[in-house]
Amino acid sequence: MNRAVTLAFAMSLVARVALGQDEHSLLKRGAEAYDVGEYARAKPLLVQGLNPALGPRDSLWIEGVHRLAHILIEEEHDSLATVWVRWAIRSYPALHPDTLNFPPAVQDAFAAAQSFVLNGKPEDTLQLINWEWPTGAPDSVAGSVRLARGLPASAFIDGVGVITAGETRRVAPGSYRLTLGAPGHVPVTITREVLPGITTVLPGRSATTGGAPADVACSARNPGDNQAARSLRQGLEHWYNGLLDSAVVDFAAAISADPFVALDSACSSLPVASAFRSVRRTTQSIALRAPSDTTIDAVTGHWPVAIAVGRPATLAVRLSRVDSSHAEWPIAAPLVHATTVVSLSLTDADRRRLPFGTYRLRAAYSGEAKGDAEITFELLRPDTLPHEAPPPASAYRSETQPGPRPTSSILKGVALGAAVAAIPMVLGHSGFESSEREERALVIGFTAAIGGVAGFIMGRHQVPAPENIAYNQALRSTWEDRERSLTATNAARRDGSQVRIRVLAQ
Amino acid sequence: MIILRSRAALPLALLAGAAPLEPLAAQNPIHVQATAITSRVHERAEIPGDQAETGGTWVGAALTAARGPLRIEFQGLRGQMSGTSSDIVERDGGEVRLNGLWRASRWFEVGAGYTARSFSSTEGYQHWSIVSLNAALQTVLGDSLIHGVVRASFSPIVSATLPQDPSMGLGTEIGVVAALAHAPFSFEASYRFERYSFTNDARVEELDWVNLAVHWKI
Repeated sequence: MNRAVTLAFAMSLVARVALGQDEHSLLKRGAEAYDVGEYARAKPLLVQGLNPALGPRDSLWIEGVHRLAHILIEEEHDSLATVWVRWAIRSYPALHPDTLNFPPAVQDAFAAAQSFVLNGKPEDTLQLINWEWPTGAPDSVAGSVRLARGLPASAFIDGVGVITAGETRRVAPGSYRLTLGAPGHVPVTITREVLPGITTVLPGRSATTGGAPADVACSARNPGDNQAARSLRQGLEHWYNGLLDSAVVDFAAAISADPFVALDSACSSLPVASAFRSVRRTTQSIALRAPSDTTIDAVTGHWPVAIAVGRPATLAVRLSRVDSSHAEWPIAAPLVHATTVVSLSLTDADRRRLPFGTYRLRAAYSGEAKGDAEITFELLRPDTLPHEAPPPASAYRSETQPGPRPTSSILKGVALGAAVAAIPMVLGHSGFESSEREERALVIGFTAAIGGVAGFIMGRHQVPAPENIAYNQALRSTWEDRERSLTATNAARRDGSQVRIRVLAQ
Repeated sequence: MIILRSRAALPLALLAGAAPLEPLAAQNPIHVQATAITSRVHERAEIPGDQAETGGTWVGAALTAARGPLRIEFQGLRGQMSGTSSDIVERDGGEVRLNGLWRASRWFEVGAGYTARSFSSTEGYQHWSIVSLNAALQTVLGDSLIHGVVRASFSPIVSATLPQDPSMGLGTEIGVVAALAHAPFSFEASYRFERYSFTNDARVEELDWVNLAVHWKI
C-alpha cells in the first residue's frame, strides 16, 4: 500500500511540475483577478484551481468556490453556480457559506445547494466519483460522464440513457440521478453533478477498490444480533469486498434501524468510517435509551436518557401522560450530533413532582424533518429497600488477647493456703490435744498454693486488643451507617420524595 | 388488680401470667450441677475433764441449680466414724444441707442454709439442726480454669439432742476448684471447719472435713 501511495504522490508531483502550476497558485491568481473585477480571467483560473486532485480543500479552496459562484451569478449563469456549489458541498460537506465577504445571492446559492445535498439519499454521500479536469482551461460548456473501463457494469443516467463501461457521454452540466448496477450486486442510485468542461468518472470495482483494500478490518462497536448489527456487518462485508454501493445501503439500513450503531473507534480514521459517517449525517433516524428501572429524587433528581441521531439536529423532546388526555409539553431541546445523554428533570412547571402514572417521552426532529422515537415509562412510588442483616458473629475479631502471666495468682494461692492452714489455729479449740486437724489443713493449704502456681503457669490475663476493638467498631459503625442511610432512603421513598422510573417500552 | 369472676378466667389468667415467663426463661436458663463428694471428717468434743475424737469417711452427693443470680444447693453425706481410742464406740454419721445463695457480684455470694446432722450408734442417737447465714468468695487463680473459694458461715440457731443446745456456731471452708477445658467436669479440694460453742463453756464441739469433690455440669 505504501508503495502505491508513494507512487501516486510522485505521479501527482510530476503532473504538477509538468503543468508548472499548483492549486494554490491558480486559486491565488484567480482571487487576484476576481478582486480587481477581471472575472473573465479569474473564472478559468478558479475552475482549474478547484480541481480536488491538486491539493487540499482549505480556506483558499473554499473562497475559490465562493468566487466562482459569484462570478457565474454575475454572468447570470445561476444554474452553473448552483451545480458548482452542489458539487463543492457534496465533496466537502463541512463547507458553509461565507456571509461576510460575499453577497446574498451567493449565500442563497449555497443555501439551496445545501438543502439539495443534505436532503438527498444517504447513498449520495459516498465518495464514489472521480473527476478528470482538463490539463488546460475547460474549453467546453458541456460536461462528460464516463464509466470506468474494465467494469462489467452499466450506468443509467436519468434523462440521458445507459452508458456502458469505458463509454464517455457528453451531457449538459447539472445534477443527475445515476443508477449503477452490476450482475449480482444491489443496484444503487446516486445523485452527482456534472461540471462544465469536466469529466465525471463513475468508478467501477477496479476504481473503487483503491480505498477498500487499504482498510484494515473494522468491526461494529457493540456487536449484537439485532437488525442494525446485522446490516452493519453486511455493510462491512460488502465494503471489504469492494461493493461500496451495497455497503452504503447497508450502512443506511443499520443507522435507520438503530442510530446507536457505530463502528469501532479504532477504525475512525479509515475510509470505511468516513463513508459510515457520511451516511450517518444524511440518515434521519432517532433512538432513545434509558435505564430500564431506576429511582431518583423526585424534585432534584435527573433521569439520564441517551439519544442517538443519524443526521445531526436539534431535537424536540416532549413528555405526555399516557393514561390521561394531557397534551405533550416540551422538556428539552438538545442539539445532537451523533449521540448524547440528556438529564431530564421529571417535574412540572412549578418544580413539583409529576403525579404517578404512565408517561411517554418523545424525541423528534425540530421543524419539518420526519423521524421520532419514544419511550413509555411508569412513574411509581418506589419500594422500600430491605434492611441488611448485621455482620455475623464470625465476622468480628476477638477483642482480647493474652497478656502477661498473672503473678498475683501465686500470691492468691499462697494466701489461700496460709488461710486454710490458719483455720484450725484461729477457730479451733486450743484445748484439743490432736494435731491432725492442722496437718489436714496444711494439706489443703498446700493444694491451694499449688493451685496458685498452676494458675500462674497456665493462665494469661486477657487484655484488650485495641486493633481488634477498632476493627469491630468500624464493622459495626459501617453497618450502622448503611442502616441509617437505608432508613433515610426508605423514609424518602415512603414520603414520596423519590420516584421510581420503570421503562415499559423503548 | 385482676378479679377472677368465673372459673374459665382462671386458666386464662394463668396463661397470661405464664406468657412473660417464657422469654425470661430463655434469657436466664437454669444451670444444674451434680457433685460426687468424699470426705474425711473428724469430730472432736470436749466436756470439762474429758475429750473424745472420732473420725471417718463420708461419701455423698450434691445437686446445685442456678438461675441468674440465685443458686440453691442440696447436699447429703453419710459415713461411719470410729474413735481414736478403743473405748469410743463406732457410730454412723451423716448430714443433709440445703443452702440458698444470691450472687451479689461476680465473686461474692450471700445466703442462708439449713443443716440436719445426725449420729447414731448402739449407745444412742444424736441430732443437730443448724440454721446458718453464709457468705462465699470466689477468685480466679491466674487462669479461668482454676478458682479459689472461701466460704464462711455463722449459725445463730443451733439445736442438738444434747443436755444443752449450742449457743452459736462458726464455720469456714477454703478450697481450690480446677476445671477441665472444654469439658463439663471440675474438681474441688477443700478444707471445712466448724466450731460450736456452748453457754458457760460447758462443752466444745468442732468438726473438720477434707473434701474431694467432682462436679458435673449437666
